[in-house]
Amino acid sequence: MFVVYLLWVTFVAGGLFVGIAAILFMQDNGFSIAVALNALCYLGIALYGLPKLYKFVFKRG
Amino acid sequence: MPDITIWGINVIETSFRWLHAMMVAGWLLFDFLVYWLHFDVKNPKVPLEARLERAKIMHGIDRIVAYIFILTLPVGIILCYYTDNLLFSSAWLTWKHFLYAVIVIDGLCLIPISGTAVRNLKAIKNGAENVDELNHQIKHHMNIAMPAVFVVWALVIAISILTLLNLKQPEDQEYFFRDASMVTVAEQNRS
Repeated sequence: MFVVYLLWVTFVAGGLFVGIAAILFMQDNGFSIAVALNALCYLGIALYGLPKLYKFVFKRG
Repeated sequence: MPDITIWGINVIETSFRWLHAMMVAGWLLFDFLVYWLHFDVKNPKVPLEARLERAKIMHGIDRIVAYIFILTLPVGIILCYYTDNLLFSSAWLTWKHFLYAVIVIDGLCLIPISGTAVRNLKAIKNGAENVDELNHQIKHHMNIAMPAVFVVWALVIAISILTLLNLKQPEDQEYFFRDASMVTVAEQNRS
């Protein structure tokens, strides 16, 4: 079970971190397709993982 | 950031670089072991005890792969900041992060079907009546996972090549596997 917690915690936290960093980078340096794809993918991963993490933490059993 | 230098080598930075590289090498190696074991696990002609034993080994190795897969992201981020490279400071690093995101999305597709083999083989051992159906489910799940596994391998190899071609010596910032003068000429041509 620990590996499942680690997976969702890492991907939600990591996804938000990299996704927000990508948006901030574009705010400072202008639009770039590669950075935009990063923002899209990492924020998507974080948003997908958020309800899963919530379920594991609060609705187990 | 703290610096511990022994014989001119920054121990923390070098350790993180090696950890990052070894994690990727271990990822590919262990994933290949899982791939090699899966042939016997999905084959109904192999004795049940042998299949169950291999499935348990496969599941254990898969757990190591999962840890490596998960921890590659934080180790990579720490390495970026430790080496004074912002996450999107260069084109190759940006594309590398994007390829890793594709691997994560690909890996998330595999989560729902992981553990089928051990679960079904234990049910067969405990006398389940629908043996054919359980065997078919094992084979089906393993076969639909294969394209996703091959995509992961291809992307990990692509990321490794991308990284090796852009690897620099920390001291004088020279490329390891590229001719610096050629890079300069290419940059001048572009500008």
